[in-house]
Amino acid sequence: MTRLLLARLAQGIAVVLLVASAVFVLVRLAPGDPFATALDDATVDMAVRAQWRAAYGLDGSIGTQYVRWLGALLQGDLGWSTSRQLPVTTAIADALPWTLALAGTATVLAFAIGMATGAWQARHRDTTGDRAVTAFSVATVALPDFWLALVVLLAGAGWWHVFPVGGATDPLLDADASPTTRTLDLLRHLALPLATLTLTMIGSIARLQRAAILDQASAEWARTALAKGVAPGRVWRAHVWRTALVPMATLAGLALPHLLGAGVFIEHVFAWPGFGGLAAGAIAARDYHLVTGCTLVATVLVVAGTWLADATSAWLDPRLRAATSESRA
Amino acid sequence: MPEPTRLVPRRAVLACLPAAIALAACRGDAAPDAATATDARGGTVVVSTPAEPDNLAPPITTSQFGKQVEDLVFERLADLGPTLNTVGDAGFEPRLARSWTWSADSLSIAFTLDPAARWHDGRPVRASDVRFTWRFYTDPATASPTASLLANIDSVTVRDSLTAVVWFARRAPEQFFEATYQMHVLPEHLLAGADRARLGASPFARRPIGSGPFRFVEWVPGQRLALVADTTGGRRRATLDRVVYAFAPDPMTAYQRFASGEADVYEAVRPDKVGEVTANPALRLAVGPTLTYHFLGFNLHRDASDAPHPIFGDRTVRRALSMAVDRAAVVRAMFDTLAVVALGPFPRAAATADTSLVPLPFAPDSAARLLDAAGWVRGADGMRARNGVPLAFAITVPVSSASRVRAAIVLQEQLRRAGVAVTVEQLDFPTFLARLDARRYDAVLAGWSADPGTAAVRQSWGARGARAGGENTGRYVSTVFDAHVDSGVAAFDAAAMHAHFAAAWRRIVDDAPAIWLAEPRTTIGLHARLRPVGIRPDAWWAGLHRWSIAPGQRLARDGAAVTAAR
Repeated sequence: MTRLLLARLAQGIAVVLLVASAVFVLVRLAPGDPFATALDDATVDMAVRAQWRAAYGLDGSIGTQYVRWLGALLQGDLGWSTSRQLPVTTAIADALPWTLALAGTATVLAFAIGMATGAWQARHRDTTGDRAVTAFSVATVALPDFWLALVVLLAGAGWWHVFPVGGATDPLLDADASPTTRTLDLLRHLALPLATLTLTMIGSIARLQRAAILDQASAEWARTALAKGVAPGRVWRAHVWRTALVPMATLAGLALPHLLGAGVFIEHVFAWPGFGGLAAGAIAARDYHLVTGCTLVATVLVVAGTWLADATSAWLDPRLRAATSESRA
Repeated sequence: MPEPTRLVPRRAVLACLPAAIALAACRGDAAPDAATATDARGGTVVVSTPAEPDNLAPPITTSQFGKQVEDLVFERLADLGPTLNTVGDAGFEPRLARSWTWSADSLSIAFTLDPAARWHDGRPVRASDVRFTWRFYTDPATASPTASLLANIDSVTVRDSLTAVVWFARRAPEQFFEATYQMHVLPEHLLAGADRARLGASPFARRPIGSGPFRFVEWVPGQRLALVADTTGGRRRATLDRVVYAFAPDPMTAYQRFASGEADVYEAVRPDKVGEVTANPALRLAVGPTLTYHFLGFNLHRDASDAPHPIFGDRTVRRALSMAVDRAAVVRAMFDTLAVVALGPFPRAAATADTSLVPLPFAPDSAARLLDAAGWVRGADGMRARNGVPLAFAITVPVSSASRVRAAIVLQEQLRRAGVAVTVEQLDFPTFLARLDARRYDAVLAGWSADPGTAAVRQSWGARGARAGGENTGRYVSTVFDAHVDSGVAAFDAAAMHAHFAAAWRRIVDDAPAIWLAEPRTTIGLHARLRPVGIRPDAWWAGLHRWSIAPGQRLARDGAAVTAAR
């Protein structure tokens, strides 16, 4: 098992480097220039433009820039953001905690609600309630993230004025505010983006959980357990539901790309100062180093998520561990 | 002279907005003289904005929003007045300089600084800071994009601690403008040891210390930027206590924050939101002129080559296309009633404007005759062609600009009626700019925000702007136009300047290198309790230090600001 996970780790590192390198090249081949808007005034001397390019490491061929970037990367330096005028590592370090707070909370909430809903649907299969929840789940999966975000924003902040329109904190929050006040303020601002991001995930989780439970419930071993007189509730809780957790662990690992992707729109709409907004702004500004840095970090997160999902699945499912041991033998 | 910005009374806006825009009813200085009195002091203004600064070090700031914040934190020696005059020193208002004296030969100006001026750390502002500032901006190590605009300044010397003398290489009508408008004075004691090549990485670029009416407090990236009134110097104390910028990258969210009452100012209310703002008793709209104009620019050459464009290389065809377009309808599609039809490549608020200029008329019949005469005749399908080549071209437009996309669609339909096949090419903004720079387009829907100075038009429509890297990407070149602009820029006499520019505008409008479309109005959404002063066409925030809030209309956040600022 350990060997398998180490192999996956090595694959992951290769994937991260490959993706970051591809983005490094592609973003430079795309039309546009990081200084097009900043220095396109014809009164700006060509020498000044060249000096800015050199200062940001954007002079020379793509190959030269790539070697320079790779050398800096080995020292933990992701370059300098042209749009934010900050080290890329600082920009990402500022934004990432906000995204992790939002995405992490949304993941916990979505899985808690989605799994409970899926389990309830499985127990009440083909009832009106099951069909209604299925329709709701399909709708939340089908709705575009940005549209859902706009509707939630307008409803929660525009029409009913229950929550603040955007941001992560009140711009007028007193610097001396107590931790309680700060926490409450954060929760008020978190509510709408959290609700949106959670909604985008609940449907697929519930659908998968329902299907997994029904699949396990119809398995021979479940029927055998019931035939042997084990209480149905115990069969469901201790056997069927537990076995149906394995695909959920896989889904949790694969949820990260979704969270980062949906986060771009949701953070943008709710002015959440996170990673998604940072990446979207970087692309619009052709901020080469920041785009590459964001891609690198996002790929690391996705690879890490997948690796964790593999490890969790193996821990939950003895068959996987056994299969690995057999193949080794 | 620019039309002053007016405050449009709520409720009346929807019914009479077109008329209201055409009328110059009252001055923007709506606040009473007593606004600066002690009892009027206080209050917080929250500005909702989708923009965020790149940095706050004036020599290297390139973002418009960064410059806006710097205008509040730093000071110039003198600033433009409401007339936006840039010739001589007429209309300029003292800032750091209390007064100034021209030398007999006009080759130097001695600026006497206000002895009460203080940096926000309490140190006095001295003439040596002015000298340091000029050296800092023009040092090649700084690589300031503004440096080339200071080329006429030969040196800055210090006569005494409060007198800085700016010496010029040659006499020029705008030398006072160059010496004052292009530089924010910097603190020598804080920046003398700074690594100029890495100024953007310095703490000063994130936490600036200036001498302006507002003191920098904090900048939380992606969230907010806060300023408070500086009370250390006792000079030019802002009436407001605090200005807070709340960032929201999505314009809809930024607007919604304003509409919901969480913010007090939103600087670009879209036409479709005007009704919502005016129907809300807590909000109102300030409508006024800007220095912006929009146009459909023609590429007079085949892409980047020197060969003439098969359609736009012909002056007659360009004139015909201009006359085939109902520009008023295009302007309505773009900005509803919040814009007027542009007269030419100049906004009406510009000092060089000729508001008596008669543009090419909307005359579809005349346009058809001109196109027929040029050999572009209608075929069986109603579309025009010459020698088998269809009269067809693409309009390139940035997809991020909804108003320009709407304009492109209206133009497409109008020109179809004239027998011209138009396709609309929508590009993301960086790609759009790249195509412009490479001159790879037929026609482009673009907008210029004109510089208040008289010389900027050389870059946008003159021969020097047509060179590689220049802004005149359509490469319109007219020696007559250039000669009149050069003479206008060099004229010391206002009447002569206007006469030359009028002739230049006449020439370029007749040559039709573009269809001049719209001159949008500034549409600033304001909370009703604000009493704004001195909204300038080039900078709505120019008088922000004099804005006030009547004590009886203050909200809880206004009271909190008093505590924070004092």
